[in-house]
Amino acid sequence: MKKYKTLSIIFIIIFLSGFFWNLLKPCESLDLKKEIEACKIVLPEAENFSKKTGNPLHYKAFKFNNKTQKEDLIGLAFLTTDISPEISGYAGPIKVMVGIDIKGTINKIHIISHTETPSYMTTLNKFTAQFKSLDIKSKFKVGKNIDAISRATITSEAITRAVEKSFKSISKNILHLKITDTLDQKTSLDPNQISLPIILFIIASLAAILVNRGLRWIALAAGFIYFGLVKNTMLSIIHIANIGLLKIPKFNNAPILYILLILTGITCLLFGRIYCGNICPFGGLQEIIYKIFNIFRSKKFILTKKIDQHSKYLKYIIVFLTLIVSFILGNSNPAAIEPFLTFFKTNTSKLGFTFLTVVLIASSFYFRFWCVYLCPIGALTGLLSKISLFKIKLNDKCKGCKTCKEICPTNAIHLDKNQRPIIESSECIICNKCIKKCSEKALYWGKNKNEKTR
Amino acid sequence: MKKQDKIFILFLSLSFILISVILIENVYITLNPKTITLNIDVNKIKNDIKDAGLIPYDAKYWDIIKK
Repeated sequence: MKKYKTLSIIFIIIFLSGFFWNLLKPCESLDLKKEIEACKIVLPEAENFSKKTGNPLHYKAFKFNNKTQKEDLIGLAFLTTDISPEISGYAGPIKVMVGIDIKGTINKIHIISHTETPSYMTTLNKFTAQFKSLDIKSKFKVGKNIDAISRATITSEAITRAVEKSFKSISKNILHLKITDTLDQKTSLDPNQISLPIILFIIASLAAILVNRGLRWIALAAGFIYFGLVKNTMLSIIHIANIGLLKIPKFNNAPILYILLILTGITCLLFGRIYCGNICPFGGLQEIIYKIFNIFRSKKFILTKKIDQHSKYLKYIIVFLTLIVSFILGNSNPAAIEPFLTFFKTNTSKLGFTFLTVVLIASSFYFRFWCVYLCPIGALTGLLSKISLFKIKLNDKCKGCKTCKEICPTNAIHLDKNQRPIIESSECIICNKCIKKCSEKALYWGKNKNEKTR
Repeated sequence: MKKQDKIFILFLSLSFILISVILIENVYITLNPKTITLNIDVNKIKNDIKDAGLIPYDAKYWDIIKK
């Protein structure tokens, strides 16, 4: 359909506009007032602060001594982003002001700014309070002496590493204290975070090519357990917004995210919506709910063709809206609208739970309600699937029985003027029901040869 | 219009409204982050210090911290 070309062009324009807007906009000038206020928070006893100087950069904190009638140095305050800028959180740099006394003990830390998901940061004060009284001999280990913020391990580790590195650098170079530990701590890469997703995508792709429904359910179950329950990492419009904003975490911090993005892109370009149909944890959940409720239902809920077709454009509106808002604000947090974030991360508002409930109830009536009509990732993978190398194709054996059209759960199959089925690849989730049910074996996986396919 | 269509439009409309509200809520939270503010009960701390038999030193920045 020509409309999919238009939608693709609109997406590219929005994405590139947002990308270049955020790339070329002038950098935020140093908010000195915020930094001084943060200095006062981390060293409340100080009466005066010097300008930020030295190597590494720091503020000196002074207090008037009545006996000597002079100002005594009582501590130092410094920004982690000045000393260890290479350490960033999940969605970008986290600006932390650290206040220490002259003996090398942390008085307080204060987060000035961050771009992490707001709903996870509600216990930030409790987290930062753990750093009080840590000194150069203390361990800075998340999971040992420092409890992480629930569901925000990367953020917690980033803050901890940044505070430790900058604190020890200041203690060594300014206070001239003896530091025995190495300052450079690299996070070790877990090879399972790379190998397991690859295996999962291979199984899902084989399920599609070999038209094996058993393999498909194995891939869906594995996706639900691994990506959903174990890793709480699914493709989200937040990631697309972060790519446009150049705020993606470093590979070592989130290798699974990179692998997920790359493999989804590759399988989309090869076969179509493999991720959506055969791996997505929330998609699998909706399918299970639909199948369970269908057992008790005598009639399927079949929508009028016009309503069904027009409703499918809603997910594109959602993509464009969330991306535009994120790019204008320079922050991907507004794009956190997807209900699977609520289901798998369980750390959200009442509104989020209400929305999740509505979607799950709707899924019991309409097959994959979220995926087909609302999912922004489904919209984008659908657009990418239009240029996939391999597609489900029709041969001359077709007798026009319309079984494939009736059996397709996402209504991705329409009939042309000659009553021959056309598969809408952007809506097809590659469940292969049509191939399985076709009595004439007229449908098959074949190479897309620039035919007039949709 | 069929019953199925009516129920569907109801679900879809409700979902779109909820998405819009969540989006607005997220924008509001992004522009007014709650997590940056400190909630220190200065009077409570002063009373605790007094109870301990000490005199609280009134540093210049209590007012800023209270805000």
